[in-house]
Amino acid sequence: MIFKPHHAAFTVNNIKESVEWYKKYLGFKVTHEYSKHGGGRAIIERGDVRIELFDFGEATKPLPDYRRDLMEDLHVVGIKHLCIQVEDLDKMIQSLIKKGLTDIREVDTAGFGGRYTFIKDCSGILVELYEPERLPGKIEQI
Amino acid sequence: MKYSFHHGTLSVRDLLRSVAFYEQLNFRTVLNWEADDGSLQITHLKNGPFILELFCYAASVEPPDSIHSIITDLPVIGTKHLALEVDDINVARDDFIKKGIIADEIQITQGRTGISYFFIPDPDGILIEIVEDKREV
Repeated sequence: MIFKPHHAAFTVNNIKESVEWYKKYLGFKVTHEYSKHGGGRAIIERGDVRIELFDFGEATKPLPDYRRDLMEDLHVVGIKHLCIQVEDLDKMIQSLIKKGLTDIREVDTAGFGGRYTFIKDCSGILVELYEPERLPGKIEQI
Repeated sequence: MKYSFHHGTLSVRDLLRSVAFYEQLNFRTVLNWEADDGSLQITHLKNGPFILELFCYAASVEPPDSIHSIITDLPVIGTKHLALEVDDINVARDDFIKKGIIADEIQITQGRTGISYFFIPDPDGILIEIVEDKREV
Protein backbone atom coordinates (compact mmCIF):
# COMPACT_ATOMS: atom_id res chain seq x y z
CA MET A 1 0.00 0.00 0.00
CA ILE A 2 1.39 3.37 -1.05
CA PHE A 3 0.55 6.51 0.89
CA LYS A 4 0.53 10.02 -0.47
CA PRO A 5 0.53 12.94 1.95
CA HIS A 6 -3.03 14.26 1.80
CA HIS A 7 -3.21 16.97 4.47
CA ALA A 8 -2.18 18.08 7.93
CA ALA A 9 -4.83 19.30 10.35
CA PHE A 10 -4.40 22.33 12.61
CA THR A 11 -6.85 23.61 15.21
CA VAL A 12 -6.55 27.37 15.35
CA ASN A 13 -7.76 30.21 17.50
CA ASN A 14 -9.94 31.75 14.79
CA ILE A 15 -10.51 30.43 11.25
CA LYS A 16 -10.90 33.82 9.58
CA GLU A 17 -7.75 35.16 11.21
CA SER A 18 -5.78 32.03 10.23
CA VAL A 19 -7.02 31.98 6.64
CA GLU A 20 -5.86 35.58 6.28
CA TRP A 21 -2.50 34.75 7.92
CA TYR A 22 -1.79 31.77 5.64
CA LYS A 23 -2.85 33.81 2.59
CA LYS A 24 -0.72 36.80 3.52
CA TYR A 25 2.47 35.15 4.72
CA LEU A 26 2.57 31.80 2.92
CA GLY A 27 0.43 32.47 -0.16
CA PHE A 28 -2.09 29.66 0.44
CA LYS A 29 -5.45 29.65 -1.36
CA VAL A 30 -8.72 28.70 0.30
CA THR A 31 -10.44 25.79 -1.45
CA HIS A 32 -13.22 25.13 1.11
CA GLU A 33 -14.63 27.21 3.93
CA TYR A 34 -17.73 26.38 5.97
CA SER A 35 -19.20 26.33 9.46
CA LYS A 36 -19.94 23.26 11.52
CA HIS A 37 -21.30 22.90 15.08
CA GLY A 38 -20.72 26.58 15.79
CA GLY A 39 -17.10 26.45 14.64
CA GLY A 40 -15.25 27.17 11.43
CA ARG A 41 -13.57 24.85 8.95
CA ALA A 42 -11.31 25.68 6.01
CA ILE A 43 -9.08 23.81 3.58
CA ILE A 44 -6.12 25.83 2.33
CA GLU A 45 -3.72 24.69 -0.39
CA ARG A 46 -0.49 25.67 -2.08
CA GLY A 47 1.38 23.32 -4.42
CA ASP A 48 1.22 19.83 -2.95
CA VAL A 49 0.57 21.14 0.55
CA ARG A 50 -2.95 21.03 1.94
CA ILE A 51 -3.86 22.10 5.49
CA GLU A 52 -7.24 21.57 7.14
CA LEU A 53 -8.03 24.29 9.66
CA PHE A 54 -10.54 23.92 12.47
CA ASP A 55 -11.87 26.22 15.12
CA PHE A 56 -14.55 25.43 17.66
CA GLY A 57 -15.77 28.95 18.43
CA GLU A 58 -15.98 29.53 22.17
CA ALA A 59 -15.23 25.85 22.86
CA THR A 60 -11.71 26.18 21.35
CA LYS A 61 -9.11 25.37 23.98
CA PRO A 62 -5.80 27.28 24.15
CA LEU A 63 -2.50 26.02 22.73
CA PRO A 64 -0.73 24.18 25.59
CA ASP A 65 2.28 26.17 26.82
CA TYR A 66 4.75 23.37 25.98
CA ARG A 67 3.79 23.65 22.32
CA ARG A 68 5.07 27.22 22.09
CA ASP A 69 8.72 26.18 22.37
CA LEU A 70 10.20 23.84 19.73
CA MET A 71 12.54 21.89 22.00
CA GLU A 72 10.03 21.58 24.83
CA ASP A 73 7.35 20.42 22.40
CA LEU A 74 9.59 17.83 20.74
CA HIS A 75 10.12 16.06 24.07
CA VAL A 76 6.40 15.48 24.54
CA VAL A 77 5.00 12.32 22.90
CA GLY A 78 2.55 13.09 20.09
CA ILE A 79 2.28 14.74 16.70
CA LYS A 80 4.72 17.61 16.45
CA HIS A 81 4.83 19.63 13.24
CA LEU A 82 4.41 19.83 9.49
CA CYS A 83 7.47 20.54 7.34
CA ILE A 84 6.95 22.39 4.07
CA GLN A 85 9.70 22.14 1.46
CA VAL A 86 10.40 25.40 -0.35
CA GLU A 87 12.67 26.08 -3.31
CA ASP A 88 14.65 28.95 -1.80
CA LEU A 89 14.66 29.32 2.00
CA ASP A 90 16.57 32.64 2.05
CA LYS A 91 14.18 34.22 -0.41
CA MET A 92 11.27 32.85 1.59
CA ILE A 93 12.59 34.34 4.84
CA GLN A 94 13.27 37.71 3.20
CA SER A 95 9.70 37.75 1.94
CA LEU A 96 8.32 36.87 5.41
CA ILE A 97 10.38 39.64 7.06
CA LYS A 98 9.21 42.13 4.44
CA LYS A 99 5.63 41.19 5.24
CA GLY A 100 6.29 41.86 8.93
CA LEU A 101 6.82 38.40 10.40
CA THR A 102 9.32 38.60 13.25
CA ASP A 103 9.24 35.23 15.02
CA ILE A 104 11.55 33.29 12.69
CA ARG A 105 13.97 30.77 14.18
CA GLU A 106 17.62 31.03 13.15
CA VAL A 107 18.31 28.89 10.07
CA ASP A 108 20.03 25.60 10.90
CA THR A 109 21.47 22.74 8.87
CA ALA A 110 19.52 19.49 8.93
CA GLY A 111 21.45 16.33 9.85
CA PHE A 112 20.33 14.75 6.58
CA GLY A 113 21.34 17.76 4.46
CA GLY A 114 19.52 20.95 3.58
CA ARG A 115 18.57 23.89 5.77
CA TYR A 116 15.50 24.66 7.85
CA THR A 117 13.81 27.19 10.04
CA PHE A 118 10.60 27.33 12.07
CA ILE A 119 7.96 30.03 12.06
CA LYS A 120 4.87 30.44 14.21
CA ASP A 121 1.43 31.07 12.75
CA CYS A 122 -1.06 33.48 14.33
CA SER A 123 -2.22 30.76 16.78
CA GLY A 124 1.37 30.04 17.88
CA ILE A 125 1.58 26.77 15.87
CA LEU A 126 5.12 25.89 14.79
CA VAL A 127 5.61 25.25 11.05
CA GLU A 128 8.94 24.09 9.63
CA LEU A 129 10.26 25.45 6.34
CA TYR A 130 12.96 23.38 4.65
CA GLU A 131 15.17 23.74 1.60
CA PRO A 132 16.96 20.60 0.38
CA GLU A 133 20.71 20.70 -0.14
CA ARG A 134 21.69 22.45 -3.35
CA LEU A 135 24.64 20.71 -4.90
CA PRO A 136 27.24 22.88 -6.61
CA GLY A 137 27.68 22.59 -10.38
CA LYS A 138 25.43 20.94 -12.85
CA ILE A 139 23.64 17.70 -12.15
CA GLU A 140 23.70 15.27 -15.03
CA GLN A 141 20.69 13.02 -15.35
CA ILE A 142 21.82 9.47 -16.06
CA MET B 1 7.83 29.51 -5.32
CA LYS B 2 6.79 25.87 -5.34
CA TYR B 3 5.79 24.28 -2.02
CA SER B 4 5.74 20.58 -1.35
CA PHE B 5 5.03 18.38 1.62
CA HIS B 6 8.43 17.32 3.00
CA HIS B 7 7.71 15.51 6.25
CA GLY B 8 5.54 15.19 9.32
CA THR B 9 7.14 14.71 12.75
CA LEU B 10 6.02 12.52 15.64
CA SER B 11 7.61 12.17 19.06
CA VAL B 12 7.42 8.55 20.28
CA ARG B 13 8.15 6.63 23.47
CA ASP B 14 9.81 3.52 22.02
CA LEU B 15 11.54 3.88 18.65
CA LEU B 16 11.79 0.16 17.81
CA ARG B 17 8.12 -0.38 18.61
CA SER B 18 7.09 2.57 16.43
CA VAL B 19 9.36 1.55 13.53
CA ALA B 20 7.89 -1.98 13.66
CA PHE B 21 4.38 -0.49 13.57
CA TYR B 22 5.06 1.80 10.61
CA GLU B 23 6.83 -1.04 8.79
CA GLN B 24 3.51 -2.89 8.97
CA LEU B 25 2.16 0.08 7.01
CA ASN B 26 4.88 -0.50 4.38
CA PHE B 27 7.15 2.30 5.52
CA ARG B 28 10.88 1.60 5.28
CA THR B 29 13.66 3.19 7.30
CA VAL B 30 15.80 5.54 5.19
CA LEU B 31 17.79 7.31 7.92
CA ASN B 32 18.83 6.76 11.52
CA TRP B 33 20.60 9.29 13.73
CA GLU B 34 21.58 9.07 17.38
CA ALA B 35 23.05 11.73 19.66
CA ASP B 36 26.51 10.84 21.04
CA ASP B 37 25.12 10.80 24.58
CA GLY B 38 22.13 8.65 23.59
CA SER B 39 19.66 11.35 24.63
CA LEU B 40 17.89 11.45 21.25
CA GLN B 41 17.32 9.14 18.30
CA ILE B 42 15.78 10.27 15.01
CA THR B 43 14.51 7.95 12.29
CA HIS B 44 13.11 8.82 8.88
CA LEU B 45 10.69 6.36 7.33
CA LYS B 46 9.38 6.54 3.80
CA ASN B 47 6.35 5.20 2.00
CA GLY B 48 5.91 6.60 -1.52
CA PRO B 49 6.73 10.31 -1.37
CA PHE B 50 5.78 10.57 2.30
CA ILE B 51 8.52 11.01 4.93
CA LEU B 52 7.63 10.35 8.53
CA GLU B 53 10.17 11.72 11.03
CA LEU B 54 10.23 10.00 14.41
CA PHE B 55 11.90 11.65 17.41
CA CYS B 56 12.59 9.50 20.45
CA TYR B 57 14.04 11.19 23.53
CA ALA B 58 15.46 9.08 26.35
CA ALA B 59 13.73 11.60 28.61
CA SER B 60 10.43 11.80 26.73
CA VAL B 61 7.58 13.64 28.40
CA GLU B 62 4.04 12.24 28.68
CA PRO B 63 1.39 14.08 26.67
CA PRO B 64 -1.98 15.16 28.06
CA ASP B 65 -4.57 12.33 27.95
CA SER B 66 -6.68 14.45 25.60
CA ILE B 67 -4.49 13.54 22.58
CA HIS B 68 -5.76 9.97 22.47
CA SER B 69 -9.31 10.76 21.38
CA ILE B 70 -10.22 12.86 18.38
CA ILE B 71 -13.15 14.30 20.39
CA THR B 72 -10.96 15.63 23.18
CA ASP B 73 -7.91 16.42 21.01
CA LEU B 74 -9.44 18.39 18.17
CA PRO B 75 -10.73 21.43 20.14
CA VAL B 76 -7.23 22.12 21.52
CA ILE B 77 -5.18 24.56 19.40
CA GLY B 78 -2.16 22.99 17.70
CA THR B 79 -1.06 20.55 15.02
CA LYS B 80 -3.63 17.75 15.21
CA HIS B 81 -2.96 14.95 12.76
CA LEU B 82 -1.46 13.90 9.46
CA ALA B 83 -3.67 12.43 6.78
CA LEU B 84 -2.34 9.81 4.38
CA GLU B 85 -4.11 9.16 1.10
CA VAL B 86 -4.68 5.65 -0.23
CA ASP B 87 -6.13 4.51 -3.58
CA ASP B 88 -8.82 2.34 -2.04
CA ILE B 89 -9.94 3.02 1.52
CA ASN B 90 -11.85 -0.28 1.80
CA VAL B 91 -8.72 -2.24 0.92
CA ALA B 92 -6.76 -0.19 3.48
CA ARG B 93 -9.39 -0.77 6.20
CA ASP B 94 -9.45 -4.55 5.52
CA ASP B 95 -5.64 -4.64 5.61
CA PHE B 96 -5.48 -2.80 8.97
CA ILE B 97 -8.14 -5.10 10.46
CA LYS B 98 -6.24 -8.17 9.24
CA LYS B 99 -3.04 -6.82 10.83
CA GLY B 100 -4.88 -6.12 14.10
CA ILE B 101 -4.23 -2.37 13.87
CA ILE B 102 -7.92 -1.45 14.07
CA ALA B 103 -11.05 -3.23 15.29
CA ASP B 104 -13.58 -4.26 12.66
CA GLU B 105 -16.17 -1.86 14.08
CA ILE B 106 -14.13 1.10 12.85
CA GLN B 107 -16.29 2.66 10.13
CA ILE B 108 -15.37 4.77 7.14
CA THR B 109 -16.86 8.28 7.33
CA GLN B 110 -17.89 10.28 4.28
CA GLY B 111 -16.52 13.75 4.94
CA ARG B 112 -18.20 17.00 4.12
CA THR B 113 -15.48 18.03 1.66
CA GLY B 114 -16.02 14.88 -0.44
CA ILE B 115 -13.34 12.60 0.97
CA SER B 116 -13.83 9.40 2.97
CA TYR B 117 -11.70 8.70 6.03
CA PHE B 118 -11.04 6.82 9.23
CA PHE B 119 -8.38 7.12 11.96
CA ILE B 120 -5.84 4.59 13.19
CA PRO B 121 -3.90 4.89 16.47
CA ASP B 122 -0.17 4.20 16.43
CA PRO B 123 1.54 2.45 19.42
CA ASP B 124 1.67 5.76 21.33
CA GLY B 125 -1.99 6.49 20.60
CA ILE B 126 -1.04 9.13 18.01
CA LEU B 127 -3.92 9.31 15.53
CA ILE B 128 -3.18 9.00 11.82
CA GLU B 129 -5.97 9.72 9.34
CA ILE B 130 -6.36 7.47 6.32
CA VAL B 131 -8.24 9.09 3.43
CA GLU B 132 -9.49 8.33 -0.05
CA ASP B 133 -9.95 11.36 -2.26
CA LYS B 134 -11.43 10.75 -5.70
CA ARG B 135 -12.38 14.39 -6.30
CA GLU B 136 -10.79 15.85 -9.35
CA VAL B 137 -9.80 19.16 -7.84
